[in-house]
Amino acid sequence: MPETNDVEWLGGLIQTTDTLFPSGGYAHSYGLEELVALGRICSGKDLEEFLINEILPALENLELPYLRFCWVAVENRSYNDLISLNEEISAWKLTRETREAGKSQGSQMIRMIREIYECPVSDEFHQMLRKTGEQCQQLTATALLRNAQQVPLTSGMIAWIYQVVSNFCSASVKLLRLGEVACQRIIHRCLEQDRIRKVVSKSLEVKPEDAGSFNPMLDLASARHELAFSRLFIS
Amino acid sequence: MKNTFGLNGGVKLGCRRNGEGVPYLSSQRFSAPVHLSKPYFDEDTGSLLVNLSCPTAGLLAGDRVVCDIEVSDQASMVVTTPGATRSHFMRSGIARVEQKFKVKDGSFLEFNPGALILQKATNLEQVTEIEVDEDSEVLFVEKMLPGRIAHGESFVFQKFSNRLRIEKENKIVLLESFILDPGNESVLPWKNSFPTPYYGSFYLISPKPRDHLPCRERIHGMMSPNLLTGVTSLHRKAGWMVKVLAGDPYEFKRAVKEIRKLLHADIERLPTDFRRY
Repeated sequence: MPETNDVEWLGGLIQTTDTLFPSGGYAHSYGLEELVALGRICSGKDLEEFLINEILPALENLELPYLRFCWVAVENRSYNDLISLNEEISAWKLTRETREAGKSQGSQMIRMIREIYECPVSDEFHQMLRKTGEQCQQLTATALLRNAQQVPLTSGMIAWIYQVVSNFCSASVKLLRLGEVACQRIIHRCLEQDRIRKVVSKSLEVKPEDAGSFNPMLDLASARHELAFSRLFIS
Repeated sequence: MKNTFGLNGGVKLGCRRNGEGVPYLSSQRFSAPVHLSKPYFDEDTGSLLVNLSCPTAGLLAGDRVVCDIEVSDQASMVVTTPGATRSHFMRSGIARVEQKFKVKDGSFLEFNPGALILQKATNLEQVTEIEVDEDSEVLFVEKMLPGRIAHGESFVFQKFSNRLRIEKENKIVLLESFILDPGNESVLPWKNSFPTPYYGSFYLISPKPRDHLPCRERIHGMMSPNLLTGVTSLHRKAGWMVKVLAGDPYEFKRAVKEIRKLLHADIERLPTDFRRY
């Protein structure tokens, strides 16, 4: 089986994108709970449109480029660049809940990396970050993890898309009472080959000064969720 | 085709206090397409009001406008415009706006221009950098319309690129960046919010309401079928951000005015009258 030499990283990628891996994502809806409460998303169809028309473009233009910038910084062992990128991620996560969600998941992830892998890069970054008093964002920790696993960049990007989409779908099981089949159909459509190819290839062209996204409705929903009277999710 | 008729100008202002504690323009330089009104000292609020007007009635292809303002020495300054800023039809080329604000030594700057109207086929690039000292305060306001809505023009602009970076004590606390192009999905979240969506955002940098913004519940309570509001805190607890989406111009204006008043109250200041007659 000579081809296994090319995919030795796949086992680690599957392990760390699986829901059994303690990322903490199950506790967050990333604004979806309030969008449902506001009547903006009421069905599986609404959710699918939201993911395809709003979330995938945000991944293409903001999150995936930043994952790539962090990945390059880790690859080059540019710790100061990685600290700056980590700061920028906290600054463009405009609402407190999404910012805190990224920090708590990132801190959990970097702890797991250091528990599971022998990763001097993560150790070094962790030490440097502690001195600044900052917390590691999930995107930054993911770049460190994929580097430790030697996952190719584009495969790491597709895994990130899957995690984001599946987190929303997971939250929708409770929020919209969607069944497992409905959720899997939505995930499948979001991950259709042509769609993913377009998202990944376009995101690879995004320059640091152009990385960004605009979703005032989601920002509003996330901000309002902080004071929601009752809620199932942390964000 | 390169546009050779664009204007390269703007405004550079410094604001300090005189011996009696009254804010004044310690330095000023401006050139077309920006014109400066005579500054007005508002005794009630202790602020110096400056109106920036645009004799060309807006931004045209090839224009580059730089707005550079520094407020220091515990001065208080309010900068606005007499009306909306129109980014006009552009056959080719782009217009570029560069804004740089520095607020230090316990000073206050409110930058609150009229709404930016993204007219048909316009192509605008805007970059804003704000630097704030630990003990200083800034209220920066952006309002945006996707076209001349009263004329039925909506989301037919060409492109709008906007980047806002706020630093407090040399550390980044907010980075909001986007490129809107009605030809792709980038405008959908805004476009789908209301049939004719008005957008506004307030960024308040202040050490006063650090953990709790007293007016937050009231702002959330303003929500109606035609108005959505949300308040959240910024990174490093540097301040607060208020976002507004409205489907009606009157509700939008009312909400923006009320939010301005509430935010001023929470930083123990009075809002300066814009004196738009």
